Amino acid sequence: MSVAMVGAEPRAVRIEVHVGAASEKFNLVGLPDTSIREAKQRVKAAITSSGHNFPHRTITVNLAPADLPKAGADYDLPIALGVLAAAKTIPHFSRVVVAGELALDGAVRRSRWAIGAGLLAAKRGWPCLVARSDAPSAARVPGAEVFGIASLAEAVAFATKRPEPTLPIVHDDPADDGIDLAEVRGQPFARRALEVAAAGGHHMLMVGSPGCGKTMLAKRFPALLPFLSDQEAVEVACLWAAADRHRRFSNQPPFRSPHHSASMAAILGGGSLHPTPGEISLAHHGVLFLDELGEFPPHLLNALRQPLEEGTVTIARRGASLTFPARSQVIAASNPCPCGFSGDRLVSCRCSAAEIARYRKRLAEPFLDRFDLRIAMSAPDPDSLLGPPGEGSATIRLRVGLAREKQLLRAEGTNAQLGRQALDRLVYEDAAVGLIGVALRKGFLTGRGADRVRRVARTIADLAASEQVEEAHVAEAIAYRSSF
Amino acid sequence: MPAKVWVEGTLPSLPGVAIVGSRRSTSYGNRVAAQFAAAVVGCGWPVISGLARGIDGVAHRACLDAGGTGWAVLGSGLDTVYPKQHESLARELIATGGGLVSEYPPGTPPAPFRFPARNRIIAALAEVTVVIEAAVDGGALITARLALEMGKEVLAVPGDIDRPVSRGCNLLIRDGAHPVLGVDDLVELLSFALGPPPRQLSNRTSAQGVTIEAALAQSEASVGETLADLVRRQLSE
Repeated sequence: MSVAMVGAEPRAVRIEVHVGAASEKFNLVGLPDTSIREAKQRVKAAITSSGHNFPHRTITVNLAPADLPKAGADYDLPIALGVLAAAKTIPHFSRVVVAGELALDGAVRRSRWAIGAGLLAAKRGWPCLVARSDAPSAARVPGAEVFGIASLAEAVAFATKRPEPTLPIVHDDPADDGIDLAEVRGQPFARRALEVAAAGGHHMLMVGSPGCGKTMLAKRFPALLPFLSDQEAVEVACLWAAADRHRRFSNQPPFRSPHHSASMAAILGGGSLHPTPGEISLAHHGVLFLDELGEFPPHLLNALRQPLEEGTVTIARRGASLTFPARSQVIAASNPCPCGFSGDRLVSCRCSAAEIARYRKRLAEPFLDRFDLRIAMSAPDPDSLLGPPGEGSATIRLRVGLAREKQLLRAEGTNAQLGRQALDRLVYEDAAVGLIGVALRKGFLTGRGADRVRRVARTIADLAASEQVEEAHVAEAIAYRSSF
Repeated sequence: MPAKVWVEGTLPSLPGVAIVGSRRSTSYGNRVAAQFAAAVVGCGWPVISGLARGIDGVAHRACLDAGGTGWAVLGSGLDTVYPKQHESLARELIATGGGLVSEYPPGTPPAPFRFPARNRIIAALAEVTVVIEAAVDGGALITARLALEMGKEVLAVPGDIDRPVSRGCNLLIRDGAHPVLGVDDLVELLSFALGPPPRQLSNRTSAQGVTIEAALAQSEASVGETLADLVRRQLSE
């Protein structure tokens, strides 16, 4: 048994080997691609190098189900074991998930699908054999029994006598990638908004002139988020593997920051034969940072709307469609105008009114509406730049974690994900409801904006460990609804 | 003076400030017009203009955005708003307590010769006329001249000496109009002419940007509390 991935979902692939009449033939069936066809040479060399005889018979290898296209060198090891078992060199071998590429000397190389193999094994309750270097991360799949092996010989030994399973890697997170929110001096407003966004999982937009610290803040945002659970980290790892990207198995939330010239397929996912996840899925359970939001083509921003709302992205292809998870939190930054200095205190703007109008029009209201927090930033106060460093990420992450726990007790997800009904069940102080009413009547809020404010206010209340949403929480939430 | 005028909405009850200027305004003019209109409205005075393209439209828009009331004097019947893009602006003016004024009966189409004529109504309705940008042969300069003839105050915003659309304003200043050098200057000059402002100029952007940072820098309370405070103050205005 081995594993194939359909999108980011592991599918079981059964390896059947038949050894027939004496003659040297090697048939491989079951929609293999070229890299699998070449398995013959690698398997043959590896078996010989490991001191076993490669049977001089007609060998037929079937990769079932026959109609699922398969790709990659990960089938080398299971095919080799199947050949040896069929030739009765080793005992019959089944109910094991195996994935790994073979070197000519019999060494087992890493596999893209090690985590997928772990997931499949956990689902079936079977043991899982992967390369030794892959084993610690595959073992992180909750419930998986993983054995790391370095060579074909060790895999053969496994068939006769089982060794101790590999232990999952203990926390691999130094969390210290050298950047910390403490480095951002000043900007108390934006810092607080980031904390609220992190605590409630809210999408956030920062608008301000170049150099005011938008990008710096955004890059430090993931460090405020709680660590991923193993389950979440496994989902992320599968998506990255499906996109053929390397990422150390980690409980750190991923951070992606695609450039505004990126194509629709790069951001949402695509590809014809084997659709791969896009940036929005690579940022699953993490942060998708859209810098220079106003420079992204409007059709792309429109296409982002639905995935952001639903947490999944569906790629339709001839015959079938694939769905990738895409529950990422968007942090966006934008200049207020093409030259960037409209409304700046020190530098005057060089844009005409028409240019500014055109620029803002790109950020259409329906898209801006997806941001629970929208803040206007200005260049930091010069005094604060010389002042003491700000509060560190780790302290803020603690508060964020506490606030998140409260949310999980109340509902399935974060406050940002609260549905209408869940939102209506929240308890608000009378004065809080009154304040929303005043803001609505005075035109500070739209109907949709009021819903966003209610969610954000709940998060602020969670940060304050308050059962009820108070008037002060709503008032603060309204402060994050700047209009541009 | 016209024998009669048509009014849709109301008529101003307080002395108003006319903000007028060229239809071919520059980004500088638009910016100043918007700032000035917001400041005038922030002080509680109504804004009066001609609903034309350029400065007029910007002033009306800024006035409404700042939550003020404004009046537009048209050079056509009240049923034909010109330019057409400003129809919604006209409707908003009426809906927010301001109005439209014209000396022409409904059904009168806009015509170039009617616009200078409506300028005298603008000059008459307003106590002070602020000219933002004007060419030497522009309608805004006509409004300014008429206002002076009626013995009313005219303020002008200085501009580049080599730009045609600034020339009118610079001429006005040379001939004795008061130059306005900024929002504070404007408020001061207006209070000389109109008396103390009906309300204190409050910074309407106080829930965002610069003033937020200033408030946070001064406040002893937590960031969240300070923000909540700012919003409360703004909503209770």
